Amino acid sequence: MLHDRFQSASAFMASNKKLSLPTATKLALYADYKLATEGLCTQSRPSLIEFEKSAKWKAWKETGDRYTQELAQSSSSDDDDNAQISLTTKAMIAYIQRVEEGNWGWSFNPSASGSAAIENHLMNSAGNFSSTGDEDLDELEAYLGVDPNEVSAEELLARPYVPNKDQIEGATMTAAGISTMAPVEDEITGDDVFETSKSGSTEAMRAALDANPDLVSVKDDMGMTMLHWVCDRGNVDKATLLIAKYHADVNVQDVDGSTPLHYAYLLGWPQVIAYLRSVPSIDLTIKDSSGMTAEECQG
Amino acid sequence: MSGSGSNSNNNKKTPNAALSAQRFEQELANAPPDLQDKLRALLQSMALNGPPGAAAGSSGKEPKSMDEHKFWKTQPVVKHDEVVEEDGAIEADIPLNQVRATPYPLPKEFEWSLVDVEDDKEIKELYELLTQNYVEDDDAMFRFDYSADFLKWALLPPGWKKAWHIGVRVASNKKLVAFISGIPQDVRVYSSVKRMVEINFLCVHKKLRSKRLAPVLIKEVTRRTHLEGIFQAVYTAGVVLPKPMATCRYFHRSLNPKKLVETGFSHLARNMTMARLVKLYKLSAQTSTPGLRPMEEKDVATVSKLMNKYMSTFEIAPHFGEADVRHWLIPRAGVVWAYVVEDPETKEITDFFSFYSLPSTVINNPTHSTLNAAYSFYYAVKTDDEALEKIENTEERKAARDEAIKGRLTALMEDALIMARKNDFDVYNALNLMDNALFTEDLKFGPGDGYLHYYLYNWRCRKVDSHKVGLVML
Repeated sequence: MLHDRFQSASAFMASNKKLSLPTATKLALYADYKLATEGLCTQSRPSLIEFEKSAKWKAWKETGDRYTQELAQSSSSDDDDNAQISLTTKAMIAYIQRVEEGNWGWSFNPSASGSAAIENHLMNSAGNFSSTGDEDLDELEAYLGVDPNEVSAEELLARPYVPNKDQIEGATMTAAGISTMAPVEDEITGDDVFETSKSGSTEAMRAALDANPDLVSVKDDMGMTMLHWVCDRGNVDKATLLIAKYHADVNVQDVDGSTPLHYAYLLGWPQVIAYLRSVPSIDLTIKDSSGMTAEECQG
Repeated sequence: MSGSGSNSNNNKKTPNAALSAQRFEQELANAPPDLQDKLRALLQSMALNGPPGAAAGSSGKEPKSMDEHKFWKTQPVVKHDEVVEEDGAIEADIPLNQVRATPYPLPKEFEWSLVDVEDDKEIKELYELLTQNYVEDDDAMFRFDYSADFLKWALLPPGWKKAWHIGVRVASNKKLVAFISGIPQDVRVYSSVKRMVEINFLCVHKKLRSKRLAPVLIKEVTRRTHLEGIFQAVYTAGVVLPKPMATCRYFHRSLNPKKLVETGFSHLARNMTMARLVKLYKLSAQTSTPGLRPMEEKDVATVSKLMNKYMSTFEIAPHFGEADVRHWLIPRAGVVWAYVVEDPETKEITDFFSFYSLPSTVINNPTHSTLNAAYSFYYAVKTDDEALEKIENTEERKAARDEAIKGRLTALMEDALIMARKNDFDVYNALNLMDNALFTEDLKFGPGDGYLHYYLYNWRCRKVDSHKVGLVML
């Protein structure tokens, strides 16, 4: 369809030679036409004294260079939604827009022209238009063009606010422009022997324990063992590994008297609760310093 | 393909520069060879130094999408480098007979189409456009999930106009691909009260995020606003445009910390236990303010008075009539919650607070599909004005007012948190506007990574501090 529009617009211009247009407009149209039909200018520079030829050559060459640069910019922009359009498409769009904006009497009648095959070819060659099953939108997207430097519609006014890191200290681009809790800087505490129980893979924790099996009974400054941490985070695989393979004490209490089961109940991790309760040595009667059993901690 | 459409025009009538050049070239060909060389050299230097009138490219008329699009430069908004000393309109009101009578043109594939918000089918189309097409980057975790009821509430306040619910459809299949809306609102900025339009819900289909539709939508809603004799607008955005009249930061109070961590909304510090987090944010099961109850129709008049009195302390604030209070603050299931404090002895309504629901879809999370967020809305607290007025020193009076409000407001907002938790909200959000800064720290709100900028269209005014902002936009 873009192709049809271009053909129609260029045919109109060809048949309306009596239009009196400013030189700059004519040159711009010429450049877009050449880029759309022949691609980048590869001819050698005409003599400078040939003003008209020289001007045309310059327009073709410079416009081509500029479009190439703009297309490269849009491909390096991180907005994946920006469809990559080809130089030809870009030039056709520019040409059509010039003819439209000139108001020289051209209008496009879709029924009078065009083959779907050409259109499809054009759309395919135009780059990675993702298939939405909505060809009208693909067409429109190509027609409207892409300007990576411009603020998008959503950013212009929309309700979701998208803070710009450069503009406000502490602001980051959030997904969908929805504010989330600002990250808190983690204190650097040096080597944390419990790290693998707090985050990371089960395998990493297994490796740490194989390297130092005594870790399983080490307590941190809150009296917590690796099993406490694992139950806090709700990781049933790690809990199983600690108890079944490394014989972690299931009834160990931290400084507040909480057992791993207290943690599991407080946070409502059903799988961890079920597993811990299935351990034969589990003691359900242990109370924490506030006098609560694990079950009583259930939120 | 036909022959060149544009350059063939040149043969009929060429501009003088090119004509003379042609002639000059002919003359030159007849000149002696050494003179030819000198003349060529001269011409070359002219071409390099002077502005070549015929050079196209950058100096030619460019299609808008390829210009560096300075849309806002064409609009009556305060420039980035402008220092505002006196408030006032940027451009004069436009007489009705000079307002453009017809809609701005769209590319042929599109057509304007007003959205009938009262129609279930159309509101569903709008809901789908909005929920599926807001900005998302690659690591998007959340996307607003406006409900149809929320949209009706937001778009059909007293004085709403169908002409301001502006949609764009694809001409061939009638698919709704873009939207912008305005609602009327009396807004006071410092001492000027103006009938304004609040612009909201600008959205363009992801596939068409072309940057050319949005300006047309903005111009069209402006035109339709002018047709109604309104020349000022207020809007908010996350990006910095020319030029924010106020900037607020979001604060978040965890109600369901475990879910917030699991969805990535908040971050669990390495040495923080989830258990401690849960205990930290635990709220009591019951509210503490005696006489707290949901707002009802019979409270409208009193709440209006309370609201407008409280609003008078801010530099930008809405003026709510009773119809506005009825619309915005009478509770609606799943949309807006409002509570009043009825003095158990005098039966007088002394305070109120409200919050609304704006959930987000949690993208690609195995456990959770929706994050239920409550947003702090309007409130007013009672102050002992007689006592305050006796304080002559302005600074002292302000300190006494803040102190009085802080205690009362903190207790009320704690009740708001409790009611929000009871209604299954996961987080309670508040901007640092109004007197919110007085309670956020005590009630364990954490700073968000989001900011919201306030903008006025065709009204310049001095910058307003966030705690002097009294206008909440959805």
